[in-house]
Amino acid sequence: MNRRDAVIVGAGPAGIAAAAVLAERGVATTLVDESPDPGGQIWRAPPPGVPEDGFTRSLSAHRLRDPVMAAFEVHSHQVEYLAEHIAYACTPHLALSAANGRASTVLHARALLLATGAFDRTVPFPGWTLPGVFTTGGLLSLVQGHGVVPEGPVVIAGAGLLQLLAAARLCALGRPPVALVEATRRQDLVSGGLGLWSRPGMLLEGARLLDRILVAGVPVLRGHAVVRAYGEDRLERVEVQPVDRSWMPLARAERILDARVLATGFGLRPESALARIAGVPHRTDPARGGLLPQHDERRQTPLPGLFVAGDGSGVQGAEIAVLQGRLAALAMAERLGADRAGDREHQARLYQDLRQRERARRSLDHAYRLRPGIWRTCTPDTVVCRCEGVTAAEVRRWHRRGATTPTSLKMATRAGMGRCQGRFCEATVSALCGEPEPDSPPLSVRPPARPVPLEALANHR
Amino acid sequence: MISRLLRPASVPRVTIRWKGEPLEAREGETLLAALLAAGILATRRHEATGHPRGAFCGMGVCMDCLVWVEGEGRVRACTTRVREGLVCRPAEHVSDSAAPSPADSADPDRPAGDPP
Repeated sequence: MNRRDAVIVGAGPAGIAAAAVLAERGVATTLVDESPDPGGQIWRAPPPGVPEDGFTRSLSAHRLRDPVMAAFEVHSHQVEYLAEHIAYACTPHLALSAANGRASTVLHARALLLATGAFDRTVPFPGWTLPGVFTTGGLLSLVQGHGVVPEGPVVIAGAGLLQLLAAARLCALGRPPVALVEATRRQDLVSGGLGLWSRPGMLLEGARLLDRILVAGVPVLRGHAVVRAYGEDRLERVEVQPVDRSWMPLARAERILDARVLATGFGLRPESALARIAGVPHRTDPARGGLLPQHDERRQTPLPGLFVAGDGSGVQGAEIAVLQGRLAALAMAERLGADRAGDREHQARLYQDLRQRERARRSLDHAYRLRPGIWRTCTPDTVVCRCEGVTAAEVRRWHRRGATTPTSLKMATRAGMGRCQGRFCEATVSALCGEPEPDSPPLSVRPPARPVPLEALANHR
Repeated sequence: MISRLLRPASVPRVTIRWKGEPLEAREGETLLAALLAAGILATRRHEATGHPRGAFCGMGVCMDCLVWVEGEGRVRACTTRVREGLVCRPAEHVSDSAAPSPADSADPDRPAGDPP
């Protein structure tokens, strides 16, 4: 049996910070990640030889990276780093299954941290499956990791900080988008900004990003949304409409923009598949991305020894993820008998800091929260489940026939049964059919959390 | 307009093949970055609807960027690194075994859609 002391899934800000704390305390630590290199999406580095642009380096999430990565690298010789490993299953008894190429393994951990990050929350509209339509996070990782953006006019649309970041970064690299389409109206943002008075750094950075965009002459269409994408074999044009207070598109004053690339997203959703497969109870918090694993102040879930940290436990950004990763690691060290004198005080300080930052962040997330009218862009003929090609009309028809839980709708329509395992349609199905009863279980998620070749499962080490 | 916003001279180049055509890529980048930089966005047709598809999430979640890589099978372009001589093509109509599918096979007598 492959026994391990501490296992961490995800080498982003939370996972890296946790690994450093554990290794510093002499805990044998295994770090499992899908990518070849540590950093996760937010700290994705360009390939060797490609310089990182100065604008990226100046952002707060990146200024945070250097000290956290440095602390990790000091102890990294003590960390077993399993790169390009897909963690695809997890039991309540902390057995983690991971596949690498054509082989797989099960790690039996004494303490397990899930720091699996997040992915874009998307709202479907006709044409959103056309090549050239990307999630905002996806476009950002292409720009940041490779400096690549497909040719032609770019439109950034949706709502949230990521939109601002993507637009500003494109400006900094000399490819300003032709428009930034933001559903949130100015007056709604003012309240979010006021809540940030205790964190002036965040306000300043937001202002800096916006300044970059305005100086480049990018039109910012506030209170607007992309309602349709047109094209034959790839995206050619998008239709933009103003939205009302609830983000419902108003079918007037529409305009057509030439676009070969569209980035769309409404914040992020936590990657919760492994926690759900393990059986961790979840609760819903729309401001933090949706379904979140339950945990205590020390980041432990109701399953003893199973911890969660970072955006995967509630989307709040890299700075908060680092604090959560450290908190989880201190509790894991204690569980493994490797805690040091003073660790309890250290935890208390971290927790105070975290609480304060979470409070400031909440007002911002409240300002950018998804308003229900935006689901009107998902017309009956719109594909809801990209994997299986299921339309909104089909989902509604089965809902009327009595398939009222997410799981029964999945059985009836196949929405959520495809390769992405419902990650991009789960929220849409709920929105189309009304939120399920409070006591009805969320969409069932089964292993493998990601598609894994059968050959890898058979070739078990 | 250019698709590569950062142009260092020092990065070694590799040559890959997409649908038989040679493409220049940069060592260390993903297959997705190489294809997009070459203007290839539609990398697959949806198995049921036949509609064109390409990368969407760019971070390994959505599976829309699946391509067929010789010797590896069906992989995500966004999580696969390029290497010299890599041969790839759209993933549709390709069975999960390493054998070429009927649609791609040179045998005209075998009807498309039957198992090999």
